[in-house]
Amino acid sequence: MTSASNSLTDNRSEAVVTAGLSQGDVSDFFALLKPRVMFLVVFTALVGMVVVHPTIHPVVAFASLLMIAIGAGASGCLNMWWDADIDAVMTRTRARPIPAGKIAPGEALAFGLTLSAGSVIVLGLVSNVLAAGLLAFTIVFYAVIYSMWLKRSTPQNIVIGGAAGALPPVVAQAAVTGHVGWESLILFAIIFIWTPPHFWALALVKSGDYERAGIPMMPNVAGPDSTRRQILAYTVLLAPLGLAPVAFGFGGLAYAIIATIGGLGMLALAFQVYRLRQGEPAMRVAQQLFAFSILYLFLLFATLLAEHGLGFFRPVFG
Amino acid sequence: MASASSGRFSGDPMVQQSPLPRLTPEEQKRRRRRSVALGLALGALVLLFYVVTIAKLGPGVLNRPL
Repeated sequence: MTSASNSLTDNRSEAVVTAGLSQGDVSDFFALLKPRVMFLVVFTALVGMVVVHPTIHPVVAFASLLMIAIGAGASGCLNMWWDADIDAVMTRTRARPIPAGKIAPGEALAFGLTLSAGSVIVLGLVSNVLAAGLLAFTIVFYAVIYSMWLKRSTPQNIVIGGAAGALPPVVAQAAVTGHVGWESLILFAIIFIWTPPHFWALALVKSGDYERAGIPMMPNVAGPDSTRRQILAYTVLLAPLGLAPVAFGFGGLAYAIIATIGGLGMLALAFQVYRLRQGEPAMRVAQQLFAFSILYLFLLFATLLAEHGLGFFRPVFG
Repeated sequence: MASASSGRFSGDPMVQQSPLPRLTPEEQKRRRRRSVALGLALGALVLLFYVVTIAKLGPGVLNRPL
């Protein structure tokens, strides 16, 4: 009875979609934009803007930031369109709008392409061609190079693909200054090196999910022990790199303290992940590293924002 | 033309025989919410273009040959 009524409902939903009528609600379309990732993009891009103290009109800066956010959302939407098959078999992603049957794949593709083109064109008109080109590159890098190619073909997928997530400060600086400076390149490097320990900590916990979906994440290909070594190696690089803004003069005293404590926290957790390899404690510490890595990056960028946006900057040297 | 667009889901006996399904009240609500969101997005875009134009050009926006 239940399966018969489900079948009728499915047939009807199919007929509605075939007739060109969307089944999705506004919230489903919003979910396609990966709002949490969008927030991170807006946040890092905003920091990329404020550290260079731009002289452009705040309205133009706001409009640029909005277009960067929409571009990031569009690439997330295209990623969901392409990955709908593997999202359907992973517990973490099976409730997304396309595998849940709320939005048809064609709708998501059209939505993603429209927003991609729109955000790039408007950013070009509002700021400059360099920023628009960088935003277009970021979208293509995430949707095509990462999602369509790297994600299903190499365990280095999130290492190389991490460049897409690290680019927003670079796009933002280009939007407000017309060029790419070393400040945004340092922020790019921090996010880029932060990405592997962040994602591999999650992959250690969710390796069963990735195995089922056939995604060659590092723990599934090289094994958990090798992944733990690489997490530690990247974190050893990340902790001093987090202090680079101080060395280059745009990270102040508060930033130096936060980056030092946070870097030591990341190192301690990464070492625990390396040391504990069996059972529940190993999973727990990997989850802790995943959660702390988010807090670490958030605190680094929030401190830079407070120092430059709210005037809390106190130089470490001189 | 008018009957096709207005009667698609409105109970027209000719249209009722069509394979197109009748929208449920929930689907109609969702469609309305999508339409409202699209309208708001377009309105926000118009406002954004207007404000950015004024911000970029300033008083120069009025400085043009008549």
